[in-house]
Amino acid sequence: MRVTDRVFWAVAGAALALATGAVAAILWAQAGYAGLGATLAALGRPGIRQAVILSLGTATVSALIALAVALPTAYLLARRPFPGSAALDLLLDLPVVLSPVALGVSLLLFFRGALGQWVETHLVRFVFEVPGIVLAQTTVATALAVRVLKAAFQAVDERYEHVARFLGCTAWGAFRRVTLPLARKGVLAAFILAWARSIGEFGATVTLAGAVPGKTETVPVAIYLRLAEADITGAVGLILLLSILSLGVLVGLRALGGWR
Amino acid sequence: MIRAEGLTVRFGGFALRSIDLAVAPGESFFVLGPSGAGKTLLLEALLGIRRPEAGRVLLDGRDATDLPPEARNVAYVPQDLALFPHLSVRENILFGLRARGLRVSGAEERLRHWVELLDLGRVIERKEVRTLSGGERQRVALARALVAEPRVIFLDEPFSALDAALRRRLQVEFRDLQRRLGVTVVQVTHDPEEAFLMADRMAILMAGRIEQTGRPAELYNRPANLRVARFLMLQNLFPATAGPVGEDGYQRLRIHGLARELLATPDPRFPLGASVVVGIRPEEVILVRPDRPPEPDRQKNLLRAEILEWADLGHSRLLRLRVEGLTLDAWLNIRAAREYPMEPGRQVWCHVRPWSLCLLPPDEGPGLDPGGSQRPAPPPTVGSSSPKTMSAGTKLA
Repeated sequence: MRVTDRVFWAVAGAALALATGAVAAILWAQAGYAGLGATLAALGRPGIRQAVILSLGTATVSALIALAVALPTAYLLARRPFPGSAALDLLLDLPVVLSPVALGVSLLLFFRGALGQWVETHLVRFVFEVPGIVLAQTTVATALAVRVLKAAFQAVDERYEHVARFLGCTAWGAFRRVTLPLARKGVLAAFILAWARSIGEFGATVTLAGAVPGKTETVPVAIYLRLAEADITGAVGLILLLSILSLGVLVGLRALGGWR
Repeated sequence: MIRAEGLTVRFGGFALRSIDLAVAPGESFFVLGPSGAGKTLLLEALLGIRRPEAGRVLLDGRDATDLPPEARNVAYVPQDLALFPHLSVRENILFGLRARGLRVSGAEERLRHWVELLDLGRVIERKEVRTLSGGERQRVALARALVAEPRVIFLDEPFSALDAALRRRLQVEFRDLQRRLGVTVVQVTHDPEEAFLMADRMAILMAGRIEQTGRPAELYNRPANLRVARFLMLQNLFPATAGPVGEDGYQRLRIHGLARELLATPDPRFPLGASVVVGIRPEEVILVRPDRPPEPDRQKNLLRAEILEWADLGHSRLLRLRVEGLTLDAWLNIRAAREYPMEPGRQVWCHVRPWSLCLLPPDEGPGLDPGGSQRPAPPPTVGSSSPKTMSAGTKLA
């Protein structure tokens, strides 16, 4: 092997070691601080089981809503660019780059406005309620899903759709029978990303939905509350719990998609 | 069956301008042109994938501009074939029937018919289309297109990815199939041989314009202009002046740089004194065997020539000759070529039959030099002991 190639692979290996090592070190530090006992103890605390169920439930609902909105949006942006679509595309990135707290404040301000007030009184109550958690998570997750799905749809050659149309498919039929199956890895990746971002979401959630114990207390909010009470062991137990839960779901989703 | 009227399509900086063509039912119609001529764009415009800026496409006499693809009942085989990678071979072929909601019993019957016809029995149960060979992929794509019994099948360079031997075999196979079934085919290609082999009629598309439409023999014998002539490998092009028609019925031509007059079949487009470009196909140049004196009939356009250089292409030999001030390229069948003692500088006799000369109008536009092939031969690498001194494929091919 040439020297430059050896250096190239060595650098790549070092980067991989750094990336995985950092994650492993974080987990190790926590396990060393609290141990598995603390995790189990954390599970046993009142309200925690409820927080876990709330987190899993809201993240799943948010990811599904995000996907439902992002699929048609991304397809339209990928296949039928129109005047101004590039600007819209850029606008969709805003929730991702905006600090979550800033996003939460923006959402809160929206519900102080006339339209927001009307929605609050006539449709769904978001502020300091569970739907607020879902809204906060969905806003960011949708933007991420659009990004991933648009790339996935663009990677599917449009000729497949043309051929399918001439073989008798409607536009919807070609999407359902050809494009969607060919982009399935991207769809799965978008769902994973949306779910992962949702389960970890804190800033926007706590601003819009608040930290009402037993009501809008997700696992990240619970961790924050433990820290606020100087209960480090409790916080670390929850962090470990969140890590294990998230890894479990990610492994399950990847297995579903064939591990690639 | 299918008709384009004044079709103008713009895509990026490229435009197809005012395309008119008509394809008859059961016809194999080819669009032939060099890379970048706009062939795929024209096919996509005929298909309705690209909306024309002006003009329209008629299918069976009805304006098809606003007809959605699925309502056209035409099939499309793109260059890369676009077999659906997530479906099995069987599902690929049945796709059109399933999409149209045909009941499975009828579908199975039709599937069997096409599998047999296209000899797909060995691969029909394959789960992955990726595992198919080039020729098999080709046939699966054709089966998928034909199984829905479309009124026209559009093919975009479907054979270009295959190796030469298989390509030729499949071309012949598909031509026979097309004639047997009477399917209407519109196919684009950059390969003149493919078009000559498979087309009933063809259009030459160059730089977004149709230069000429006709049967293959018409285009071969009578290219409409120098651009078409050059594209169809008519590479001996000499500016000349038209002379009178003699008592023997042949028209005299005075080629610039050649002392003796050549005889040609009269062409009323070029009266006495008119400027004309004379085209001589390399394969129409006949070398007279040194041991056999030319027959009287062959004395007409008999020319003294000097061998400059040559290159063998397997089945044929490309020969470059000097005839007075001109350079003349000739293709010889390799068997015939072996019978000639060949060395650079050797004097030979060659002749061209009067009906082999092709008369063309001189170019009007700039950049198209009518004396293109009359430039002096490339720097003489001739004289070395190796006979393969010509860089075949660059200037000659």
